[in-house]
Amino acid sequence: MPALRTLGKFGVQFTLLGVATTLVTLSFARTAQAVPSFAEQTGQPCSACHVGAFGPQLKQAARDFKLYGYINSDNQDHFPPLAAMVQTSFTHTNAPQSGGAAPGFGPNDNFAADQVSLFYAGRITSEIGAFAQITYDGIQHNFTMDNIDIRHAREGTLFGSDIVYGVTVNNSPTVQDLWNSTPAWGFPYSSSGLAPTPAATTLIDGTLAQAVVGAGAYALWNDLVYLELDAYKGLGRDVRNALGVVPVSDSNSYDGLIPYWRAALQHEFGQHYVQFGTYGLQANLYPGGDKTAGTTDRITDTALDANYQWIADADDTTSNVISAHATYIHEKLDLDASQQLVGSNPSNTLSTFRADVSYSIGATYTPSIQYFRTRGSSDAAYWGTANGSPDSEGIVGEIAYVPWGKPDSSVTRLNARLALQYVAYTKFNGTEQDASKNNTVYLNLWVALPWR
Amino acid sequence: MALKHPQRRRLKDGANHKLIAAAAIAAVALIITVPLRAAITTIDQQGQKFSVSSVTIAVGDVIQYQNHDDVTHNIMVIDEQGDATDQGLQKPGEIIAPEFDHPGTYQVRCSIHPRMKMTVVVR
Repeated sequence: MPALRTLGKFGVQFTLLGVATTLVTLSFARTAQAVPSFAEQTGQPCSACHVGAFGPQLKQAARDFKLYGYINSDNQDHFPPLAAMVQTSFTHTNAPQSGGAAPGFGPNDNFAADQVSLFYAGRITSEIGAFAQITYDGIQHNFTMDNIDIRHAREGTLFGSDIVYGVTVNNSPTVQDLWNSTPAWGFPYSSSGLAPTPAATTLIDGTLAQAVVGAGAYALWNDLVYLELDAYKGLGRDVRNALGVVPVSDSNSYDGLIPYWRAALQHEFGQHYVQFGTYGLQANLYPGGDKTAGTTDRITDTALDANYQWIADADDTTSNVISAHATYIHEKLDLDASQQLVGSNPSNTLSTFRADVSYSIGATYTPSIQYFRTRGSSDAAYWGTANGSPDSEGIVGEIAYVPWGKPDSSVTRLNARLALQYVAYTKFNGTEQDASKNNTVYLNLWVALPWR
Repeated sequence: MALKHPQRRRLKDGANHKLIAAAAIAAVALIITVPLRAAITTIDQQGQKFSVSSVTIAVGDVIQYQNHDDVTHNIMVIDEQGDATDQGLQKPGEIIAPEFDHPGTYQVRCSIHPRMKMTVVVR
């Protein structure tokens, strides 16, 4: 999720919290994925790889598919692996948003065609695969180069045990990750782009998505230890502008390389699967792209995460699944540039914790609930909230219905997901008062289909 | 890794392996098609894994792979030179029996599910 600082802290300044919050909502819809071309390439129903028979919550088969570079197939001809996705929604917030939820939308009760995406998702060659997405954003009304992850993997032996190792080129830290606890693929898998959302988020929590490009190497040893190192480079404004990444004006520029690390342990115990890990990055950035201070802010994100899955019957891809994810991200902000430019504290901290659990029933009905909390040091000049606090807290509840995507589905080339989501805030942008005004009902219809 | 033409004994094409009648037909087919002295080893494909990670057989023995999953598999037999023989799509409930006519060490994998891999030693 983009942080407020990305959206023009130095353009609108922080006194305009309402405006800033509205700006945040414009680009806050979490990118959602479902890729029928993967299903076509492998000859598998959606339920073989996805909890709830619809992406992006992954089972072991999907983690393997991604680990091995999106190339596994049933050896039939499915080239080119193209797919499409459409999302439409209705959003209601407890209080209307003055001036409209977004340009062209009313203050409340908005219907929207959230996004239309085209995917190249599958084999490029027999050894290289890709997940690449172009999206038309129906709220911002623009085309954008969305998530990209191009991979190549090989197998070998190290210390007498199997090792899978590979390389990835991608444009969003954590988009290449195998687990749903990290930001790019975390719950909720779809959320309203027309609802207010908290202003403060950590850098790794989506702020860099599509604003950088990077490459890295990864390895999974003995099906137990996963290690990855990547380096990202910020894209110039001209490039971002050409790719449709918004907002470009007043957004951050990044100095030098941004290292990203990932380490994890995973193990399967019969019906149970567990994973524990860490990930993080460090970036030097010119806030708002302003280089006049002659120095940068240094942002260091360090995160822990965990996953748990219980599958009732591994032979049956429609059997019930309990799935849980959690992450804790701690951000340290050394604000040499912001201190000079807007009088922020010399340093701040920001921490985000999220944990969710879902129970998929027959790969058809999937209720989920998430607790989220962001806390940090107060700094009115930096966060732009009324009392200077970046704190927000709340719960997301959701029930999703997926009629198809299973081995016995009557419809085989199309899948859909209808989800009713409720976001309840107990604290929003540093205050409990009126936090519930931002509570949101989001009804989302998500349709995925192969391109041919 | 070069792909060879499919070579396998398809012992049964059935949609529902749980049906007793289908199992009986498979057994009869097995008796008819397999040399009388050949030993038969059954490897289960369950939870998108093989039931064993390695097996040793004699030339002429038969390994039958039985798909207990509700999804399709595609077994590949890879010899010591790295040449792969595609056994074709194996639907839920199907049993296939690749031929191991020569001594050697073979890797057996599912082209769809990379976690499904095992070693067959033929003596």
